[in-house]
Amino acid sequence: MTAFARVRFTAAALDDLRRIAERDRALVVAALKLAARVDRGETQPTPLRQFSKTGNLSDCAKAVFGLPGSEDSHRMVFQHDGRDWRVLAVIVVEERTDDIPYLLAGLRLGRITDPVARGKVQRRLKGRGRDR
Amino acid sequence: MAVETVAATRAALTEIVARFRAADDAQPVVFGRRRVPEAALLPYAQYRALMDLVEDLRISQVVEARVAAEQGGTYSLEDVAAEFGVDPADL
Repeated sequence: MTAFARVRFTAAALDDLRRIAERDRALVVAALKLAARVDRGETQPTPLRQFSKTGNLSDCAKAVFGLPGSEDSHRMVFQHDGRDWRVLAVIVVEERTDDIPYLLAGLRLGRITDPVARGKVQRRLKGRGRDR
Repeated sequence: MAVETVAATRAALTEIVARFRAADDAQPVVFGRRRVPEAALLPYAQYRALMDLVEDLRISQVVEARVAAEQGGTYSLEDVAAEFGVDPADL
């Protein structure tokens, strides 16, 4: 019987870890430690907020990690099947202040295609006078 | 929402920050030249909450793509740890 039975990694998430390892193996160790804490039930991932009426992400959640002593720079994204967790992605989060310009660029390029999400984002940004 | 002038906002900045310090849910202040909205001040807690929403939006896009492309095979935490030379006992 394996010590860790509740968390498994998808191939895409494993590829994420391989890419991260090329830059910093310590981050991969931090990611594995987070996955182990989730497996043991010591950490509960935070459910993702819903932005879409069509895409159902109600079973998805995220947990944060980073290098010891540093700001949490990465997110591990899970999908829960009622008992076990599948790791779908391990992604870096850029400087948080970069997020708004990124989002604006996405809107202009039409990358945010879901009409509900797009409408909400546009309404949120409109008040800033920076929408288009 | 009222739009303040740049001058009025500058003059009230200390008071605005004090109001934000007292209440995370304080109303943001929108201001600009000739009262045309150009910028906004808001409590840092509100800014963080907004950034959390943006982050989840970005993650949702990744997740939707991953779920759509997934082949179904998965790897155990032990196998993944072994690939990176990590002893599962250290996790």
